[in-house]
Amino acid sequence: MSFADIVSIYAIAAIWGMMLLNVALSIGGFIYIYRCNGTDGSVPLPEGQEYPMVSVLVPAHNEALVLKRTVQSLLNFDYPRDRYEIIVINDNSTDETEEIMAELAAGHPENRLMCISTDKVVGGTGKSNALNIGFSVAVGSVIAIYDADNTPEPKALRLLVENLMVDDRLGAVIGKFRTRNRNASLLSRFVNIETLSHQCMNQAGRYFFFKLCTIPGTNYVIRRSIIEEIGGWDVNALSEDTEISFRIYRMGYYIKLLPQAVTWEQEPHLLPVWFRQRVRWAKGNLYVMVKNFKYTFDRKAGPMRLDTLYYALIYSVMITSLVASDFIFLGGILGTVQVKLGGFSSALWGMAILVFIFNVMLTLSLERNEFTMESVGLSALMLFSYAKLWVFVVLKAAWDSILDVMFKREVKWDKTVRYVETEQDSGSPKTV
Amino acid sequence: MLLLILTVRPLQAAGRAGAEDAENRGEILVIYPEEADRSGQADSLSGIAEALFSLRYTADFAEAGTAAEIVNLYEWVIWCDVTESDRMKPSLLERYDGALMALGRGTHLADRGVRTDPKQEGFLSGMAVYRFDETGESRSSVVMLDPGSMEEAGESDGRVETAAGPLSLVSARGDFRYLPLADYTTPFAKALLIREIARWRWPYDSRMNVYTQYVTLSPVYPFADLRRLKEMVDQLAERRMPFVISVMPIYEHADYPAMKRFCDILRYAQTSGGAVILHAPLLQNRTDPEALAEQLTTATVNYLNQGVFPVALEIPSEWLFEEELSGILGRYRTLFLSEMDAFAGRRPGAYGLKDHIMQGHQQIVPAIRLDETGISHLSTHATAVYLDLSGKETQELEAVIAAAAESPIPLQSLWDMEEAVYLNDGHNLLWDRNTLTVDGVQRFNLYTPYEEEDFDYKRDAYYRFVRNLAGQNNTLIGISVGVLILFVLLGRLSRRQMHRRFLKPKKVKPGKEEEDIVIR
Repeated sequence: MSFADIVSIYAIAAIWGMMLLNVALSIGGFIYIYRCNGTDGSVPLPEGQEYPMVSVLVPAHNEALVLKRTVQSLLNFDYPRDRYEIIVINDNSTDETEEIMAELAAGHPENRLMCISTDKVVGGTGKSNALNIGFSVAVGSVIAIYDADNTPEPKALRLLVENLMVDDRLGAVIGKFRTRNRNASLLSRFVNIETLSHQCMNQAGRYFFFKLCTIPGTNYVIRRSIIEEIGGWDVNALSEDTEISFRIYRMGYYIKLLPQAVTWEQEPHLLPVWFRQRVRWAKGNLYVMVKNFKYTFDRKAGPMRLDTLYYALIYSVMITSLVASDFIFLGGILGTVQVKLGGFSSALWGMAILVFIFNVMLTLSLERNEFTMESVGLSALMLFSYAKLWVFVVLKAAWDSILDVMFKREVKWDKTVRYVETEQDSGSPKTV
Repeated sequence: MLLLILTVRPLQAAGRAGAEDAENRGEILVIYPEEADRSGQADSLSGIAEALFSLRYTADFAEAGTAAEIVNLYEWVIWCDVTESDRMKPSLLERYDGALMALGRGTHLADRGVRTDPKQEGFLSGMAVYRFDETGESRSSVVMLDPGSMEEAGESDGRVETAAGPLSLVSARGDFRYLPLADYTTPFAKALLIREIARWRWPYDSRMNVYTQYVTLSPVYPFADLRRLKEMVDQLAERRMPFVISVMPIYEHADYPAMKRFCDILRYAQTSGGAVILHAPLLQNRTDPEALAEQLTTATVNYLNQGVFPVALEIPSEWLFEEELSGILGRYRTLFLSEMDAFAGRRPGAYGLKDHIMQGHQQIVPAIRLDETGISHLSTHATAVYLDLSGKETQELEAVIAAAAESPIPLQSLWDMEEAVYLNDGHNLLWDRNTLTVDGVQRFNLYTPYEEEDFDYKRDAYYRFVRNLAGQNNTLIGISVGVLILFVLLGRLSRRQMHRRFLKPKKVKPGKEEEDIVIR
């Protein structure tokens, strides 16, 4: 048996193993979202209990292009007006963010809307730092986080808070995020499918089976007491959401996914922007994985052990198997690699492609206006294009992380570049 | 066997150096009309290049516009006037006094004694008739453009029967020869051209040198029907016909009983008038000659260990154009070409073959199929009559063998020639003066029947594993089918839910059924 044969077996076993794992998560996720879709997600508070004070934190670094729309959406929450405040952290912006915020605050004196501007001395070092600054002035017993490009649906905050309040074991409740600019480009269509079929469905599946979720960075509420206990957000983590999720689980809480609480956000529609964003995410996840992998073998860590194991599988087994698979595929085309392994048929690869497409379409069947023939074509196309890019993202992130450690480079927050959306870009309902 | 070295060189690619430098100059200059290489006539030019290659003549190809200055450097010129090229007429046909072969249109050849008939102007089709040997006439439909005939008595051969009357197929006077056909891609036209170039170039009145044919079973795999192979060998031996078996390379498990049984037949064939050659690997990396050389070495050594002596190599003609492979080809004295498609699709600028690639080789090209048996009736060059055991019925194979046996073209055994094969790590196989040596040690071409033996396949680890993989494969496919069915069922469930959530009953008028409308 040659080296290429051994690599092939490894790639086949790993890819099929991960795919079947995702199939299982999809089935669990489907059942959970199907059940959720049967209700409106609302859990009325016990009679006499007031809605808690909520501080909505919005970190903003040069977000002038999108911030106005975001704040207006936050002002439209159907949450009691006197029970929430909006704190925009204008984090060392050099654009008109501050002026826009001043104008918005003046126009809505009835709301508790404030803007904290930082300079390059205290701010400008990333989202975690900005959140810590906002948190220092927040008064709410519940903290809600929204990214500056979000337009949440009016009921989103109320649903999240209601669900958090009725279960003391819940540390946080997260909602679902959708792609607002779905039609902007082929890339944004791929991102739309990915967020639904992989990110959301994956979360739902893990929650269904293990009560396990990872905070997505936006559209979530968390108890103030937890933030205080863990000492705020980790300023060294690029994926502060994943990092804080692990800490919540270690404290004995769990996180709930509430798909009825929806926010719409602007996703990258250009490849370079997308690539930088995903490299940042992957770097953050690698950091969290390395930092928390030790808990995989710690029974006291609760269900988060499964998450650390899952991340380890994704960033070691999955990535190496895909690289091996591509290496063998390209080597075969160039004639430099010959796999003499018998036993596996072409039908198996055909089945793998079909399972991927059906998996995606199953997820899309739970969404309005997404279950279309166009989506079938897109999911087939993304398997051979968009999905392949993930390998390069992870390899770049791993390389950058190694260089960061070797040269002791400061972890740098690479902000996602926004753009002005047009009507044609929109994939969200006009009512939003 | 007379060895002639062939190189077809383009003047565009080589520049003028090839023409001015006598050492690099080809024996024949082929002049073709401008733009011909970028039109459909390129195919016809490739047919001409192929004919020259088969005869092993070196040739330079030049566009009409550039040939005027160099034409007098050549003693032999082929003028392919398959289309318009008026401006070449004064500079070439009037001034050139060397040996000329004109192909195609008869116009502009008046000073050579060719006259065109107004009744036969334009495209003209007809039935060409030509006698390649004593066995009878060959016939083929042909197309001509403004064909002509020799005005005064000269040599003529064959005829073209047209509606306007018969035409000479070949007209000749002295060292001038004229063929009126416009297309040289058909087997008949190729064979005619090869024959006539050979006659044109033959300087003596005596009978031309006669080349031979090689009946070649190719490709033959170890998993072929060995009983049928044995029958074929017996039949050839019974007719006392020499033959060649082109075997596929084997790299692994060469000690398995299946390989030994296969080699048993090959050893039997070697002592029954047959010779074995090695077929080029089907999976090969031409960009990595070292790997290819290693493949050939491994395969040859595996056969040598079984008493089978592959004395030559069968390759696709495309390999001749691969610069990187020249070192490998140089290790074989005899090359069989399994197909002649390397010229087709190339422009004249890419016909070039380096001299050093071809030096020292005897090349055996595939027979041109002039009849249903595939026998070419050409004795102008060495040809291989290929038989594919797996692709034909026994009766068809027997018909080809019978035709080859009855053909006036002699059959020859590779054992009648000297052979040499050089491999990696100093391995070599030499057949010289009836002495066979492998790596310097004399070997004898003997047949010792193979006796079946108990063989330990050592399958315990690997084969159980592979068999297990096949089981896993089926399991995964089964799981996938189950998953797909489940997904479809779940999908239907969710679509129903979506209908319930986002469709509501329309207010109906009395007497009408309720309809659904979509809430956008």
